[in-house]
Amino acid sequence: MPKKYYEALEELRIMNNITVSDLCDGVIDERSYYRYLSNDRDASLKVLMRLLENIKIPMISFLNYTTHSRTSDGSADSIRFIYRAHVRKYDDIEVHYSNVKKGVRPDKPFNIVICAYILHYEFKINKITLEDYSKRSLALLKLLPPENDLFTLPPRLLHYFNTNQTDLTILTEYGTSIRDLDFRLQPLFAMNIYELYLRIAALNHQFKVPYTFEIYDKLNTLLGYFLNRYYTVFGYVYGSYLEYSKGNKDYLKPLLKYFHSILILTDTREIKETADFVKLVFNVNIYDLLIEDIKTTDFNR
Amino acid sequence: MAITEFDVIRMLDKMRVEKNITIINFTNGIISRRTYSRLISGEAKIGLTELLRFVDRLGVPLLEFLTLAHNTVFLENIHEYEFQQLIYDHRFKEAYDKYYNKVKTATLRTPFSAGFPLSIPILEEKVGIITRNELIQILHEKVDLNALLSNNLLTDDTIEVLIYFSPFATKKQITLIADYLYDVLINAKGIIIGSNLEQCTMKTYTLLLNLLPETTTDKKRVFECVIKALNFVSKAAVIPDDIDLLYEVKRIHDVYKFSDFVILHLMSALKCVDSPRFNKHKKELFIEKNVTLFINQLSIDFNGNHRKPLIQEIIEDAQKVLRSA
Repeated sequence: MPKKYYEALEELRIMNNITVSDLCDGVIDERSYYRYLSNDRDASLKVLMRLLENIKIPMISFLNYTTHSRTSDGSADSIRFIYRAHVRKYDDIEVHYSNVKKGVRPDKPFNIVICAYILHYEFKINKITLEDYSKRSLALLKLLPPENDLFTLPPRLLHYFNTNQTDLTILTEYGTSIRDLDFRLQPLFAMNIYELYLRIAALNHQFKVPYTFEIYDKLNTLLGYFLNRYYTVFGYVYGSYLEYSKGNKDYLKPLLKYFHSILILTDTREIKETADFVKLVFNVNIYDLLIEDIKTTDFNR
Repeated sequence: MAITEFDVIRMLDKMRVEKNITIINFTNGIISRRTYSRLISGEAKIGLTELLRFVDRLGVPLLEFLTLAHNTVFLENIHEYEFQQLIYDHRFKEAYDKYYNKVKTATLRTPFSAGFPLSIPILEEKVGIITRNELIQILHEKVDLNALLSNNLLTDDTIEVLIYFSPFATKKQITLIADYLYDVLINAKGIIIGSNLEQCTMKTYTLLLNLLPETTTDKKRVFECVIKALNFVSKAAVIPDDIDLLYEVKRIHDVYKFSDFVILHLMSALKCVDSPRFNKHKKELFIEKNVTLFINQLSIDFNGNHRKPLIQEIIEDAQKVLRSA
């Protein structure tokens, strides 16, 4: 395993025209460097950090490079697909969808999550009917281990959401498990779980579903770590929804931020769908609200 | 200074404690308990294989584990970020009162603090400690532009330094910087390596677009950059740095009048941010003509013809200009 890090280091060394001697200067001898490069012989973390220091690359940047820029295996495709399917970023999803669909079998919890998102996506783009979705999704759920964790919750929540269930007991049970999740283990999955739970609660007008506030706080904490455009947009709408549920008029400001983000990020079809969602949850006409807001905005005053 | 081996070990042990794993279970089959104690006290070194096995035991991918370690250092030194933001906002008095003494002599830990040796004298000039001539002299002494621009790896450090240095660079130096950024971003003659890759790339595109109008009148070259930058934005997830980039696209729109969607994009984006950093942009954008444009488009969005996401519409308009150039 350490070998791949040295291979990445070697790529960067060559790219930047640095000699092996300069790279290793004061850290290790050149022979040791070539040994790390040619087999999985271990080197200390400190050695790697000092070598990186010699070519002026921080460890975290280096890992970004090894993980993202060099990644060509299928796992990156899965993550990219899940992310796009979840946030409904469909403009460039097809290539990841077809790559993922080719190779995945529901043989372990991680792969079951991928399969669940494949079904979810196919349902959302009307490739399969609700009946078909429901049947196949149930079959997937039967393959899951009984506990509610980072891998088993997304398929369960997606099923609950897409089949328009309203059983508060089940939702509460999910909420209990979600509250105790350690989001750091798979931040993307955790973010998706929080978002889906809050969306279900909002759509069902279940403002008093236990843990909703705690889960919103968790979503916000995660947003502090991962400043992501799409998830930040979710932060706006659920922040707004919680204020609204408390009868607080301040819900309008984050709601407008939410819709401005939708205007930027999506096409007209999604804009109209989101307007329907806002009408359903907040009972407001977002078009009128936006017009009124933009007309009364004057930053030059 | 980036994160150290000690920061990594500290994070490892913190997560072990949080996950209620005993030292015996944690170290079993990896290293002895005694060696683990020596690691914690900084007396022993950790092997890369051992680190990978430890993070595997915690159930965390290495990158995410180190991101957390990195973020911990970031949060412990949040004043460095706040100082940088105030300088970006041109809120020099506040930056001086709150953070000057703290950042002036301290060992800096976060990735963007590489620009501090430049931003500190910039601040000193603004509050009257040094003169403008002295500032320019200091900046030109501190920045070895040739060395910086001969590096094929563009890091957080590079871009931070270039952002601060560019406004004080000579015309010739600005051309050199723009050519370098063009080579990295458009000609792929180098690569970007950042602690937050997207943020670093976003800043690099933004600086290139900022410098372009000063260095070229070649429409083709300008629109190549605009399209590439917008394609990047359409896939990137970092906010609100995209506003800075779109604002530079808007400046290019002011010259070539190629897509009113830039105005609409910026207006909505500015409605989502509260930072005083963007007050200048807000005052410029929210004028009667643009408000009318916005209302008309809103009516189309709800009742009229189909449109793609705004960024795609802007890209398509830019492509038309490129084809005709």
